[in-house]
Amino acid sequence: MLLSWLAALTPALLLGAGVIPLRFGARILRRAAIAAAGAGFVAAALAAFGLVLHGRQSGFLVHLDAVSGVMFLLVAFIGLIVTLYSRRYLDGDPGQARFYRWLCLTLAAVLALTISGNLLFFAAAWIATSMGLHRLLVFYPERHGAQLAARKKFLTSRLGDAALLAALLLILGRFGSLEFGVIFAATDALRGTGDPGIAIHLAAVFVALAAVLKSAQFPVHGWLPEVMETPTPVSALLHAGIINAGGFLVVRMADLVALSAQALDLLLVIGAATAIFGAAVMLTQTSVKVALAWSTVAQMGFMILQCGLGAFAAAMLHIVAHAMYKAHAFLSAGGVVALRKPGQERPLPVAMLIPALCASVALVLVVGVIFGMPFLEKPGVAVLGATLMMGLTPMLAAALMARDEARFVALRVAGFALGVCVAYFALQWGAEALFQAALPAQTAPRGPFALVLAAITVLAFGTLLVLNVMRRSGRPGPGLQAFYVHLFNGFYVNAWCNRLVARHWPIKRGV
Amino acid sequence: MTMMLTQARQAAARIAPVWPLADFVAVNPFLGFADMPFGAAQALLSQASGRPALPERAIFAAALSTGRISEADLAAATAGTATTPAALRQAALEPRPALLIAAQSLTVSDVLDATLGTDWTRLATEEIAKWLGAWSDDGQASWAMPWRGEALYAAWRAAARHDRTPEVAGLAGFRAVVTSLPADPVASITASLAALGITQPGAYLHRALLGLAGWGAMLRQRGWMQELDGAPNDGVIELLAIRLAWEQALHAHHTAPEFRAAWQARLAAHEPAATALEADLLLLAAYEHSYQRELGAKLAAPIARPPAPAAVQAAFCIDVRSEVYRRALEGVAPQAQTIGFAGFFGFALEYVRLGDAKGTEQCPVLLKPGMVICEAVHGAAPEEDEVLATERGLRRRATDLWTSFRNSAVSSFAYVETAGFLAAPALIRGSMGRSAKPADGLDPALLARLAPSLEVLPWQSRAHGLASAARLDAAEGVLRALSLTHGFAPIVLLAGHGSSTVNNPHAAGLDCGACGGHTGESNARVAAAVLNDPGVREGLVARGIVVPPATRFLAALHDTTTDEVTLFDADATDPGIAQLRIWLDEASRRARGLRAASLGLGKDPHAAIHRRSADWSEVRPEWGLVNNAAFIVAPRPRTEGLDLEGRAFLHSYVWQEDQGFGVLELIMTAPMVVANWINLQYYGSTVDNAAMGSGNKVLHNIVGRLGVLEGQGGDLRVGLPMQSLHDGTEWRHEPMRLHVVIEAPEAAMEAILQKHAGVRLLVENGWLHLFSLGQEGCGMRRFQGPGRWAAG
Repeated sequence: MLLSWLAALTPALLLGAGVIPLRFGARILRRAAIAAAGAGFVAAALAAFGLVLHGRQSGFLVHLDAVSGVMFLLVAFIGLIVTLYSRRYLDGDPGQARFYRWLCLTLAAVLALTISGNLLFFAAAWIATSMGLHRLLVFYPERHGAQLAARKKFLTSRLGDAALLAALLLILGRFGSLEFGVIFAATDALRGTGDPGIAIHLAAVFVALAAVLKSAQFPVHGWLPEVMETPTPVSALLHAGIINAGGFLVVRMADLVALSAQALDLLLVIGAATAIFGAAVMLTQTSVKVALAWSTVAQMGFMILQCGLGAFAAAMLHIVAHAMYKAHAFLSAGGVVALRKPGQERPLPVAMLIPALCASVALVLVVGVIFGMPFLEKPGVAVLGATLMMGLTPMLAAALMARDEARFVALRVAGFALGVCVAYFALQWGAEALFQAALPAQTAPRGPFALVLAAITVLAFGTLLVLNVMRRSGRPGPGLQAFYVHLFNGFYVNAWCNRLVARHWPIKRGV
Repeated sequence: MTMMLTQARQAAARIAPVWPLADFVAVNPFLGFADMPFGAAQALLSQASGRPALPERAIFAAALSTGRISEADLAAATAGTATTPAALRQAALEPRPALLIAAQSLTVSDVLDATLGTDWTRLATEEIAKWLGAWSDDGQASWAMPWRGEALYAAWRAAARHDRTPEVAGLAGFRAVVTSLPADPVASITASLAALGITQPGAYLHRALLGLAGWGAMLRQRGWMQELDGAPNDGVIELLAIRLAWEQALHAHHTAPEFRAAWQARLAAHEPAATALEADLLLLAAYEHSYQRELGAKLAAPIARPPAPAAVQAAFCIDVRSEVYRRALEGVAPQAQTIGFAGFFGFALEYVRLGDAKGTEQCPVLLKPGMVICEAVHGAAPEEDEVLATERGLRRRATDLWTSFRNSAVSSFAYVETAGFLAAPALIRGSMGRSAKPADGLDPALLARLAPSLEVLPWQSRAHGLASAARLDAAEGVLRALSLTHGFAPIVLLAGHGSSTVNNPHAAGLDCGACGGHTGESNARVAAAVLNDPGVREGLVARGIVVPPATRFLAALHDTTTDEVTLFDADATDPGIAQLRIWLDEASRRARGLRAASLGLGKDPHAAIHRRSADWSEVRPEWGLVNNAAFIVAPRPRTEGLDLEGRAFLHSYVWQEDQGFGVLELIMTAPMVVANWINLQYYGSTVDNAAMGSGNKVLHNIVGRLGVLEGQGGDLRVGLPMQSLHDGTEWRHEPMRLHVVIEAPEAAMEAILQKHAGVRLLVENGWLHLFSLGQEGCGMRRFQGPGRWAAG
């Protein structure tokens, strides 16, 4: 119980800093925000430590287990980094006090979301997060691009809220409680007893939909690459701490979602489509921040795909690793010019790709088996392993091409590949062990349909690999050239959305 | 057609170039207007954009209320005009009357937006800018635009034939229009103008380019080398053809009667009335006069001390930031004499770093590098250098493959799941102000041993190094230009400068402009090495310059962010150098103290200043050349002891030693023009940051590794960010034109103006103010026209 109060202290501190009246000025709000984020992080770290010692805490207010503990600590960490960064970054900005207010309130909402013990609080924090973020996105209200993106996000968010509330009502109707501990106990009882019933399926599908709408999945991704109209730390917070709330919802509700093969299939299809779409578009983008945003679209797609495959622990791992990577990438985005420009990527001949593919298959299988990965029993593990193999292939092909004096390159790159494999499986194994107790032991039996979907997913990633190899070949043919143009424009999804917004919710000129 | 080309070129020439971020140097945003008087240029700008590049009146009003602009200044500014000082004072308190954009310059998208409430100007800008970003991308996108190697207009046409965005946005038939356009950009412009019915396109073409002036600036820079050779630079015309293709498509698509009527009215519009900017121009003159008064009073003071025999002569760049440090050093060490000279020390070189194929151009952008100097490991045999260079290349290749693993389509997922966690320590380091610098394929221990080599390295494939004869010529040139041909001190310090900031897209803008937006240590080291060469010393004797054998030239780098000075190739055990080291460190402390107030720091600013230079979240690491206002060409004793507030470029020059005024000619045609560029960059960025500055730093988004966008797209931003000019409460730059003050015979200056039309236009058209400085005790006289110089 004490632990729960300690955890609740973090959002409370930030809430406290966020409600300081603006008339106290930027200096006071800045100091309060930094103090609150710092003390909040310490409280979060202590709570996480306590969690390790005492194990899961479940009450109506706070539900603290491995899943929420990790997410909680992650958001507190990113929040502290972003708050410290903004101190100098926004120095002198006339809106600095307002900035700190909404930063604190948004952080308080996300933190409350991660540890809330029941769906009602969760939904309230979910909506509050979105509202706070909205204020940060239109921090410069005169910017047209900021308004446009914020409106698109506002619309998808409200749909996401509706989906979450629908799920909430269905769950309340079925289980008579919104407390996570009660829900999880009830869903556990249902596991392995045949079809759980339509209400459960619907609730799971609504949870999946809410997640999809929250985490910028295709085709409602459009606002994410456009929110560069707000200070960099907001981008860092959004991409590292907020956008993954959708994924967190699915993992939090994994006990429920895992009961419905339909919900999982939905996540699998949308996640895979988003991952492949986002990664392909990312290749063509010419500005640092927009490329990073498309990378987030892709990574969130991959994380949702992992959920769809039932690999919830892997999804959590992905959320945390991506958050670190993306926060750093945004905060250091001003430094790319100081870095050496990489040399031109060389074309990869098929004659090198085939042995490279064989080598990476062998490498992944050997290392995977050593770590005891159940490739055969769990199609999900096989699918994810296949993406790893495909990812390593171009690098190994390049290593094979490095001959003679460049043997150094070949050896070093082979070392990279081995390191990646070992790190990958070690982390997967670790995540599995860490989150095991907080996640469902098994997912609903998946029929042949899911196997077909899994196979299609692997094929789709294979196509992406082919595209990635073809773009490196000297001069592309006319078909590929046209494809480049469509890809560069994100297949015009965003242009359509912009037109719809312009027609139905026009932005006044000069606003 | 040829008339068309002339007019298109005229519009294109109005766009000043912008250098890529890696070599970001100051550019005069009014470069294309120098052939017309300052006031006329503002009127023209005002008719094209509705915004003249003149300070907001609030700046004048504030200066009047504090007495910064005095009654005498108002009287001086209004002398000989119909305006009275009282009327001018009143004008400063009123807002500037709204200025209309001339109807003749309005574009189709302007008229559409005004009549139908559409948003086409913004959309067209964004859509064109998007393709400019793809075409000019210098290594950001993994999958580059397939037509990048082609001329811009052709590349755009190829892409636009597939791009459905304009049609999705509501402009049906766009691709058909693009396909129907001529393949030649000039023919395409002609066709578009004919379709629009525009017969007098001058003002229209200018305005059409304004929304994309940043990308136009990038194009102008791409053709800059050609331009220096005197060839036409038609990159911007290709952009104009694209912009006009949009105009044509917009015009063809919109048949609404209210738009068509408005367009007809616009075509029938007459020449616009002259824009009334007189009050603003006079207020600016009064504002400048207040500074002239202040500067004149300072310079008229008697010389403080007789020149003593010096232990050290220290040459610094003319940069205004050097003024503060020089003052500090002279204060600490009376035996130190300082000299001001362009920070590349006359060595226009391309510096090729170890293992690189191409180097950085370390010279003012008005020049082309005259030599290639390669980097080598100090004290290593040539074979060892070669091994190290090869090794570096291989390590870089391996790093590139890792980068490719991070950025490629399938592997990016595995990258995040394995290496993503490595960012966690980096986040903590960053927050503590300890962002790591990548070693870039070299052992850190080796970095300190890298040095420019004058010799020919057998393993380098390009012609490089500096032969003996060339060394002698260069040595003589630099000594004469420094007015340093006798009376050498035992140590002559040549200090280049650079800044130290992290995570700063505009870092190069804080480095040495005379070194092409790079740090100046390699130029200083080459200069010192040449001047220490015994063969050169011998040759100099024959040319009448005797450098005592005991005199050593020493290269240094002044860090303008921290005010630390690093010495190169210096023997720390030498007593003279040890003493110098102590002076330099003390001067660094004193200089930081002098800058502390402007940075908002207290009595002990040293730690805070060092933190700024390493803080990844710092948007104001230093104030750069903010508030620059004067360029003083005179012997140092004339300015020594004066507090010039870091506002003056100082160039040492003794006219009595300049036979035939060759050095003066060099100063007035090169450093003076560079100072003018810097001054007008700060001026333009301050008076109209939206058009000539780069906006808010916290929104900057680096595009194509070459420039910044503000936000997610749109036009490329040029000039300085707001944070470099404004502290959040007030402007730190006083927008005024440069005051060039030269101690030299007036006739000699006029002769140089006569000889160089470009420089004469700058002076006569009022893009800078030229003053002569008389003998000691005399004040400044202002050049008012051939043979006319006036005091006050």
